Amino acid sequence: MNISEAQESGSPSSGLPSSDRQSREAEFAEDLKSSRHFEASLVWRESLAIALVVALIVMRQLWFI
Amino acid sequence: MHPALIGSLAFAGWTRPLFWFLVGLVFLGAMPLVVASVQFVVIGRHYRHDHYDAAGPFFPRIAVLIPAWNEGAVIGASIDRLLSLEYPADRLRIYVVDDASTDETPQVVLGRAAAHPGRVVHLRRDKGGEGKAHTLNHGLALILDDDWMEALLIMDADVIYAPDSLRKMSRHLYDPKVGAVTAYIKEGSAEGNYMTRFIAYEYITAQAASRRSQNVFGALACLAGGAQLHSRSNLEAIGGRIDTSSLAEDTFTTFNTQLAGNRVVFDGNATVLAEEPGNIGGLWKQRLRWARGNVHVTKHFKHIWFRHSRTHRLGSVAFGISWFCLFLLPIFMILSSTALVILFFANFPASWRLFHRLWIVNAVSFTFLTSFALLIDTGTARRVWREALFFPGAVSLLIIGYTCFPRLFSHVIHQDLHVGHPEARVAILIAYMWVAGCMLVAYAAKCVENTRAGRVLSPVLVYLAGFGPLLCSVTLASYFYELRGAEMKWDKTEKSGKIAV
Repeated sequence: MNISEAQESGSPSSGLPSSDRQSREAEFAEDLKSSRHFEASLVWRESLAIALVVALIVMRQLWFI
Repeated sequence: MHPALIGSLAFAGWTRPLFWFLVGLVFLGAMPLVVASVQFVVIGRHYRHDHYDAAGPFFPRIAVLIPAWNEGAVIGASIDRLLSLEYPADRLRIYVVDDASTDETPQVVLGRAAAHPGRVVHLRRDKGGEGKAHTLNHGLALILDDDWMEALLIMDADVIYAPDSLRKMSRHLYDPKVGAVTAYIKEGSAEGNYMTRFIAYEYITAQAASRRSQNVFGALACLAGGAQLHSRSNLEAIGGRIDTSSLAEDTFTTFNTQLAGNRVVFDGNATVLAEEPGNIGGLWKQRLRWARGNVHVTKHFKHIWFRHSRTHRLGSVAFGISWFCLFLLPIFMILSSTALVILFFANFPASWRLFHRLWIVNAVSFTFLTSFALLIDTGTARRVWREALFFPGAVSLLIIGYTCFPRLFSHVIHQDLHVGHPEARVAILIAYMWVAGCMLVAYAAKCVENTRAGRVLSPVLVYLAGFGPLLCSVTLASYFYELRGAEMKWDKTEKSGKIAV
């Protein structure tokens, strides 16, 4: 089975033995969950960096007062 | 400095446009950092463009292609790590193209091939030294001849894949629109020094951060040479071979993939460790090759810049601006510095205000970029936060400190500079020239590295001038190499197998 056949078939991991397929699909779901979790965390990481910039600007303004 | 030398030209009448032209040049110096900040801002939206919705548990038959020239110190460990990847064993074959090595590379690979028949294949080129692209093509022709391969992983002999990295890359190929996938290459030296720590931080910004933003913009600048996973159909679409006309074969492949209408994905959660140069000499060789390659790419793909296309996003304004801001960075710095110096003599008060604004913009950008980059990869950040801080150099940090908090420096520099001490004016002129001069000092770090004092002096100069300016000086050197038509020599980075696993 080549890539396009596998992609067109119902199961994307078809071609693997069924026991292996189940564990691979579980592994995939776990990987996907952790990857998505990290990508979502980039939002608060970015917010923290922006907060630091705002703090810098505020500090600079206060310094002049 | 004599007061008569400090100008106060009004820039009225016909000279007014000249003034605004100089103002524009001054702010060119801030443009790369501003553009980088815009790139980083969109990373917060990456979760909508990370391609995970279209990924699937997909395990194509992968041929791993490793070009190797005198890689005896590292190739054995790389093969062993590949064989133990969390990927179906019967779907992974390793092809090492030995580029006429003169060390123990053939013996090491043949030993692994004997231990793992059918899984490790040794291919030998009798005539070597033509460069990586030729070596890759030797193996690629053979692999494409056989229909076993469904996807091809191109990697370097020294890189070490995390156990789950290959399956994290292959999941994207489930989407037939994806032609190629790349991973997050991290600097992985076991016993690093100041240089590897600078590179480790640079890789957070250039890969973990920038490539995520390129995912959002829909155009990727480069599939890392050490981690490129291609579908078979993509390889066939780009002609079944790697471009040999340039020193940037990986960028050519990346552009050709996208020009063929195939998507390229960066997966920042698939990580690969690579050994990087531990001194300026090694870095210079590696980066000069990359920078010259970028000149070739810029010229070769001149028809795509800033031109809309329905098949790819390489011609988008966002991608073009980010490409040229990096490509022309040294020129921007020189122009900015020159404009400040002209204004110093023509209209000092105006130059002083502009200088402040330029550095305040730089300070804001630097704070955002550095803090966000460190937060993206906190593991690496714990090791390299000092290098992140000194990335622009200690002198530039002082200038940032002065422009943000001048009262801290009030005992050193007079507030009213018109009547300030002549020494202060000389210091200001030097600060104006520093915008470009830092590249010269960074270059001096390279020149003294192999002298008796270089062991100490060279790192000191890099921390003073900055790692960023050192990279800019390499880019500047690449212009000169290309202008004088220097020979395209494949200066391979020496590897010692010092990656920590």
